[in-house]
Amino acid sequence: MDINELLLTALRASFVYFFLLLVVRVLGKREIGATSAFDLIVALILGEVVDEIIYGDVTILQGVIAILVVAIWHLVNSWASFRSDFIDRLTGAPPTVVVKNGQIQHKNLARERLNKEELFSELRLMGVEEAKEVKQATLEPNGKLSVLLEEWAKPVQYQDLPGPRSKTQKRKS
Amino acid sequence: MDLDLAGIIVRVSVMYLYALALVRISGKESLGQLTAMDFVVTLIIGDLFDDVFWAEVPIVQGMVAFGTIILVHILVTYASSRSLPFYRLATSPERLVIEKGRLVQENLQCERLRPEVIQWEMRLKGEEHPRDVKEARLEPEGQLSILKNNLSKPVQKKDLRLLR
Repeated sequence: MDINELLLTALRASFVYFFLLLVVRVLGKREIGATSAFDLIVALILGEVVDEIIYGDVTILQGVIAILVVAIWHLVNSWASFRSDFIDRLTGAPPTVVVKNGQIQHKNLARERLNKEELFSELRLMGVEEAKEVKQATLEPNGKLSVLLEEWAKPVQYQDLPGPRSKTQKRKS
Repeated sequence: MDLDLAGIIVRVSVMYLYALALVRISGKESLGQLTAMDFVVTLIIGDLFDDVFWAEVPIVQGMVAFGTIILVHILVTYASSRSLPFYRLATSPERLVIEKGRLVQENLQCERLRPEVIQWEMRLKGEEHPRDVKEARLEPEGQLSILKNNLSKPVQKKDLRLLR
């Protein structure tokens, strides 16, 4: 292994780093790994092509083109699902309500291939003990469970205090 | 057939210890600022090793590649901690998406964000109505931050004077 090849490796690694920095910056903060399983897969694809480039198994040009094509498709996808309801529904999972007004929605739970144990485990992780405290629990498109508490189960807010300000400004919900 | 099992054990061990040492030296501070990029860097690094394990590239070349990525990443995070213009260049800036209970449409458009996305991101934070929100931002990490308006904030100790 001569020193030139090592230098070239370092150069290619630096180039790949800055090129991916540019790609990630252009794609935006929610397109890489943050939102859906597919964003994660795209991030993994981008990460997975670089070793061949850095070690010189493929030319820089080939690597750049592969990365660019993936990035452009992902950008087109994100733009199209922003613009069109149809494409958004086609490419992303809609939220599923699994608890409504304290009642567990067994059908929806089954459709998401979840059982009651898993649901209660998620609820406990948010400090919720019983389903009746929950106004709405939803399995969101990023695969996480959101929990909205019933009005009586919410922590006390400033507007709930019996002060003179809060009495006049209290909002109906 | 030569399976080279001993070679695999040596190369995997050497690379493991080398990676452990470099990550320790680089320090946690170098992670956690350019978050999307941190994530990609982690993936790049993970990708550099298998070629060395299977002896497709010499071990020094793997060490140089890994060292370079870590070094460049440390330099870039250092530069962006020191210089605001550089930080702005390297990181997607935060964007206000709710102001005084209203969605800020043009900023949603900048991020190609549907209003439904804000709704479910709010639900994940236990927030039901935009009207309870003073400001919500899409932070550089890609997450939604929520500042509630004063009436909807949880009671703080300073508010207990109202009970007296």
